[in-house]
Amino acid sequence: MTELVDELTGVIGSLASNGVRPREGGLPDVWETIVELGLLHIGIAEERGGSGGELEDLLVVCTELARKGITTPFAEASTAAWVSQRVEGERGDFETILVSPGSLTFENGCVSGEIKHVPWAPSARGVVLLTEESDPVLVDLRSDAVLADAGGDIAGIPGSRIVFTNATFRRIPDAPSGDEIRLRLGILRASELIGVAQGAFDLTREYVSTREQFDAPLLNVPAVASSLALMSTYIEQALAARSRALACLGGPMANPEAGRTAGAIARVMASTMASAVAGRAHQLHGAMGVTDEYPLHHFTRKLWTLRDRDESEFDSIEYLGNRALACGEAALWDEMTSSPQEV
Amino acid sequence: MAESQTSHALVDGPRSAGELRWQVRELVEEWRADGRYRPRPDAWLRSFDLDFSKALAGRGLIGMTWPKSFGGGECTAVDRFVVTEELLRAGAPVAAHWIGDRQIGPSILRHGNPRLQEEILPRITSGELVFCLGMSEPTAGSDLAAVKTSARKVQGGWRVSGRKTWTSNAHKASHAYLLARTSVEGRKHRGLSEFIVDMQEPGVTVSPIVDMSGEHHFNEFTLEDVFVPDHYLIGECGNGWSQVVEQLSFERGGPERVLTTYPLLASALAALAGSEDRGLHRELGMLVARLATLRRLGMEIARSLDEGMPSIARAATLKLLGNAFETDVIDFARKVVGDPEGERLYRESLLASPGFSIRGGASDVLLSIIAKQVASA
Repeated sequence: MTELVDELTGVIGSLASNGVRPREGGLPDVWETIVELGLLHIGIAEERGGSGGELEDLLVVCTELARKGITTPFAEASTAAWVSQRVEGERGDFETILVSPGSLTFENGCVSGEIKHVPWAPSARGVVLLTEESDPVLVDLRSDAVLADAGGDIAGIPGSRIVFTNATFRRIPDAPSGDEIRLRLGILRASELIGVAQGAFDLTREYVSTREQFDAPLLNVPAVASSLALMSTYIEQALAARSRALACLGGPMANPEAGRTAGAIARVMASTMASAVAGRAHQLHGAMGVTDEYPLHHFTRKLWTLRDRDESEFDSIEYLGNRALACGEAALWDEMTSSPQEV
Repeated sequence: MAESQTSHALVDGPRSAGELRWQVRELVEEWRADGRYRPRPDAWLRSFDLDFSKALAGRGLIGMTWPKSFGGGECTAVDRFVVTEELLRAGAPVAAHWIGDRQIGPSILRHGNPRLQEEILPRITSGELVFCLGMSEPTAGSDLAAVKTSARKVQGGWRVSGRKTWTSNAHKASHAYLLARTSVEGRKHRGLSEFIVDMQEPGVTVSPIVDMSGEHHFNEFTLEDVFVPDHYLIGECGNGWSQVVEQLSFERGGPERVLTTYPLLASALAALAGSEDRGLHRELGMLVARLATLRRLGMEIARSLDEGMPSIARAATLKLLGNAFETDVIDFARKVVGDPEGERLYRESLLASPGFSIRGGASDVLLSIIAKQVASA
């Protein structure tokens, strides 16, 4: 696993060094390469046309891309591909995915309604949606029954307002459950957020180690050192929450609710990290960090936009509180302490 | 009494995490039903019951990771973690054996000479010995390397003189761990050595320090030319600093840095049942997220101990985040109207809380430790 991790990290590193700058308004040039290399389909069995390998390997790619400042629909597209098991396509084709599509109606094989903002829709071939019953379906975004107004988000990630007018959907045979899908997307999103935070941290550490004031690196100022340390503790915390959520995927989900909870916890810890790291990174960079030219804002804007993507931090926290009350202390404790797994 | 015998012999083969959990739950439930203890926050410091420690010893739950030849169980650090978290959940009276089990035993195992190991370790695993920590001094707290307590070489051992403070349970301890200066040459970090001291030796005087909750666990103790035999030196003379730094990371990375106020959280959760206050639900949700995550981090730290790859930064991170969590639990409970029992738990937690982020590595200092680690990574 470690060798593969090193290899994957190396691949991403070389992609990043090939003059890739975070680009607003569309897919970065390296996206096609990422898809061609089969990175999107790690974790899907080779017999099914995937690239084989484990989910952990996929997460390494997701995190490293984000850490190097390469903005892509990797989290969405890899999850959508895993749900639909659809791996064929040309020149970087992909589906995106929404797990909280709001008030859509699904009737007679058609979907109708509006979604205010679908990230990456301008470039996506289709979208995987969770229906009211949480069964996933696939909708072609390029059909006439779909109206799309392009717009962006605070990070410049392209998206669209989508209106479906009796757009045909396809059920996905043998699809994972809604809870499993939410958990997997939550883990991918947490990985992306962790990568972006690490990128912001890397820049910040470099900056405070080299920028001098008062005849010494900024890092010599105790408050600066403390703030840098706090950034790292938030990242550590998010990593622990993610690895806990991953542990829930060990086998068939014996307790889907526990999986959903673990995914929500990973989201919340990643979102908390995002807010803390973005704020501190800017503070430690001083004026330099707010310029367009300096790369920090690419990371912090992504932290701000992704911290509430898929399911908002706010909603996740409320879900966790309600669940804790419904379960009671004993059940909560047992769930929290369920690893190491009993054999 | 049967309970005081170390009974690893009663246990056939390794116990699973589940079995260990049930052993602890059975014991605490029995004791609670019999009214032999009441759950309290900060029990690992303030709730001292030698009989309870012996009951744990009788079940092979002290010195769990140590060799069987010393009365240990040769379990993993993760096994010990599981037992520890169940005891803290129950607010059980574990203070008597806590220090010996958590750090002194491991330190003696790693660095002690065979005679010291044979003399001390089995008496920790049997629940007989009680340890206190002779580390801080009036002029050496966060700056532990500044200790002045001196040890001079004499025939057959050492003579130790000095003054230690903030020593929890020194008034009940059979032995002290002691950090003392064996040489004044060179930097202050050099010339430090670690010893075991018999608290019954002539020259040891303990005086109480009552804390703001009105409880007595802290003490100052002075040593006037106290004799310490040769074999009570732990490890190498003059190598005390690197040895104690290692010991501190054992001290910092455990679940007692997260679960000190768990009995209060459990009470607040019960008191909140049926409430419709969404704000409180969200606050609870955030606490649950942090708790589950910190528990996971603690377990990973235990695993890394088993893998022989301890991390100073991670243990410090767990303590820093964990202590903040413990305190935030109190603030949450403050908003939840509870019964008299809840009120008691709230009061005890609040009065104990200033100590959480000061003891075992003050948060301010931990931040600079973490900063050093991450800046050079």
